[in-house]
Order: sequence, then structure tokens, then C-alpha cells
Amino acid sequence: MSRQIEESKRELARVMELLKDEPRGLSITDISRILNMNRNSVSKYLNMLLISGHVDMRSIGVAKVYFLSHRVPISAMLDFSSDAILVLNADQRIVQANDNFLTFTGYERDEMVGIRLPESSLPVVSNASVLQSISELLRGSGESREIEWEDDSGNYFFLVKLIPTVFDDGSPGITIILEDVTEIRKALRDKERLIDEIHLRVRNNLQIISSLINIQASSIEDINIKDLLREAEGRIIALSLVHENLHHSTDQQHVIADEYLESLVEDLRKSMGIPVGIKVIIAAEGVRIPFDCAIPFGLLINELLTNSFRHAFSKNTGGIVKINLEDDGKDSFSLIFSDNGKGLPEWLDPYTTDSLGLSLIRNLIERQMSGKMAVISEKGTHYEINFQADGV
Amino acid sequence: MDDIKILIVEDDAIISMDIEQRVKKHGYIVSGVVDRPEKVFANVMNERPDIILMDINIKGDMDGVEVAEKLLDEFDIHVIYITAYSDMSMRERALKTEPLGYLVKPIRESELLEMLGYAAGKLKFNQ
Repeated sequence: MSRQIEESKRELARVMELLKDEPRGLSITDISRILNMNRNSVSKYLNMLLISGHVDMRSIGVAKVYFLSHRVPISAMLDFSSDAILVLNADQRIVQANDNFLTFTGYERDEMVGIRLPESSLPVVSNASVLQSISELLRGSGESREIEWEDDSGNYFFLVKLIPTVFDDGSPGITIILEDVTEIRKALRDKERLIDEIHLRVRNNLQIISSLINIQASSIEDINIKDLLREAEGRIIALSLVHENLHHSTDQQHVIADEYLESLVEDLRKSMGIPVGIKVIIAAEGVRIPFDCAIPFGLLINELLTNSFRHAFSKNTGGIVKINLEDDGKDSFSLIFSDNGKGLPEWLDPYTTDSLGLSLIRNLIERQMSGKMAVISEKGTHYEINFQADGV
Repeated sequence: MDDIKILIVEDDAIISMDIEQRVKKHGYIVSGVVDRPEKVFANVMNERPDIILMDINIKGDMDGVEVAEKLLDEFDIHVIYITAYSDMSMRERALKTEPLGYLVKPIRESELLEMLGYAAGKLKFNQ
């Protein structure tokens, strides 16, 4: 018996000695040939070496190639990691803790090993949801999972990774990896706060501009000039509504078209004193305008609406304004804007006029929105506009 | 409108001039324009304003919501917010101080007037 063991030890050593010189690995046939050993014996020894972890195997096509494993002792590996790591056995007792975990908790290794986790008061890892996941995993339900942990004050953030583990004797355990994500979470939170702050400043600055115009308007007697200044103020408000809407959209990159249109119409109604007899029908459900297009789009709609409200309808008669916006895919959009008012005056050519409203409309579309417009003025005014977002 | 006094809490000079001009134009009296908490309380004690227009982002160690909270607790005053904050979390915080209104900048004159009219009506009713 002992002679047999001696012999297999010697043979195992020969196989390993051979593999040492062949970092790219050898097949069973190769080994059998070089060592002049029969295939069955080679296969038996390789299996023993595989189980003990001295050898690894890789399949290359149909061939299986064996080479010396490059294993690092697990405890060295654990201590090398920048995370805090804990290994539990099936009884949820701590069997191993790395240096980082000891530093993190302030325990000595002797004190820690052997403690049952549920009875410990260790930070983060003994919290209820972590413990529950651990018992679920030990019962064999589910695979590795990650739990985010945040302290009550919001000052510390950890990612707790739970990995089902099997010990040498086949019994189950759990490896807990505790990653400190405090810095990155805080950086993220600061960034969000900064974005909010910038939105706030943009709106505040727009308010300052609108206030300046308003203060100036109030010192002017001439009703025409006053009106012009009011118009300028209206344009600033249209801008600021775009910003408000952007800030509230989920990704802060798109304007939700129907919400924006509703709020702009509502705003113009109030500021221009539009009678309720004039209805505005908006059809733009689900359309989202990308950021780069949102500002010119807002200004464009503001001009179209202002024109209709101001010129299309004579006082005290009703009227209908329709805004129809569709997403044609590939960042291109079509907008049909129409009113059933009295139409543009005969002498006015919408493509060449230098009236501010219409030239704003034309130039926003052509110079900024890669778009085209067609105007039909018969019974009412009808604009067909196509425009294109740049696609970020 | 018999002599309704308004205190304007706003730390931006230009915006405060604008608000002041707008409310004066419609016959309200301005009891003061202030930019920080201690001045709010001083004005409230000395001038007894009827309506307070409150910005949230102001100078000093309290923000507008905290000032409004104190005004509600100690003087039973309900403010009208005028703020550039339009997000829900700030709005919810502000609504806990039982304001008469919450206006988001930029100010629309019709909205401001509507709000002031409502506040004035409420004052009259309570007297």
C-alpha cells in the first residue's frame, strides 16, 4: 500500500515537473508519449492534480490541454483586495476576514473568527436585509447578489456583494465583499446638486432679464414701445419655460412637447389676455424634443402663437388654433400649425418679410433647425414645418 | 384696496425693483424690501405687513422656507412664495408652511396680481 503511494507521489512529481517546462500546456497524448506512461495512468494522475488544484485544464477545440495552475493562496488574495471581505460557513459563523475588514471594524482576527454574524453587531453586514439575503442564499435560492447600503445620515455608502461559496468538504458558505462606494456616491450627489443649482441660476438670470425689460417698460409712455418691450419679455418667458420643462424631464435632455406647449399656451393666454372663445388644440402626445432643438422650438412656437393670438382673430370672435407635432423618427419632426382666422394680409410675403415675428420664425427654422416651412394663407394661416434635431 | 402693506423678501436688487414696481402700480403699499432673515423679522415687528412675498434662496443662515416656518409659528403669517425653484421636493417643503401661494419665476404679472387679489380677499374675510 505505502509502496503504491510512494510510487504515485513520484509519478505525480514527474507529471508536474514536465508541465513546469510547458507553460502553454500539454495534452494527455503528449504527456503519455514524453513520459512513456500509459494514457490511463496519465489521465488518473491529471485528475488527482486537478482536484488538488495543482493543475488547470483548458479545452482547445476538441483537445484538452493541461498546465500548472497559477493559484494564489486565497488568504493572500483576500488581503490584497481593497474591499473588506468576510467568509461565512453554513452556520453563518465567520471563518475568515481579510485585513481590510478587521481595520474597518476595529476587531482582532482572533476575536472575529467564530462569531455568528446574526448575533454580531458588525457594521453594515449585520443589517436586516443583508442577513435575510444571506439565509436565502445559504438555503440555495438564488445566485450572487448586490445590496446597496446607506447609513441614516447619508454620509456612508457601501455595496455589499454576497457570493455563494463552497468549502473543500462540500459544505456551503457565503463570501461577503464590502465595497466602499461613499466617494463615488457623494460625487454623484454633488453633481446632481450642481445641475439643480445651474438650472436655478439660469431661471434666476432669465428673471433678471425679464425684470430689467419690465422696469424699463414701466417708465415709457408710448404704448407702441411699451408693447414691443412686453413682446421681448414674452420671448424671455418662452425661453425660461423651455428650461423649466427640460429640468423636469426624466433625463434632462429632452422637452416633453405636449407639456411644454400647454404651459406656453397657458402663459400667453394670461399675459396677452386671450379670450376663452379662442381655443388651442394640441396634438403632440409622446413627442420629445431633444435638447439642442428645444430652445429654437420654444421660440418658434412662441412666435407662431403670438402671431395668431394678435392678428388672426378680430376682437370678441372665437377661433381655433391647432398645433400638430409628430416625431418622424431619426431626429426629424413635422409640425403643422394652423389657425382659422383671417389669414396673412395680401401684401405680406411670409418668405421675405422683415417683420420681426415672421423673420424670427423663418430664420429659426432655416438657420437653426435644419428645417423648411411652407405657408398657406387662405381661410386662416397654415404652416407646414419640418425640422431636424442634430442628434447628440 | 385699502392700504394693504406688502413686504418683499428678495436678495436680487433688479428682481426686487421689478416686483416693487408691479405691486405699487396696482395700489399696494410696500412696507419694505429685504434680503435676509433678521431684516424680515424686524420689518414684521415694526411695520406689520399684511402680505409677504418670499423668495426661497435668500442671504443669511435661514432659507425662505425656514423663515416662513417661523413666521407661521410665531406670527401666524402665511407667505406667498416667489421662487426659481420649481422642483417637487422644494415645493413640498414649502407647502408645509401653509403658504397662500407658490409662484415660479419668471414672474407673470397676471399671476402675481391674481395671487395678491386672493390674499387681499382672504385678509378682508379674516378681519
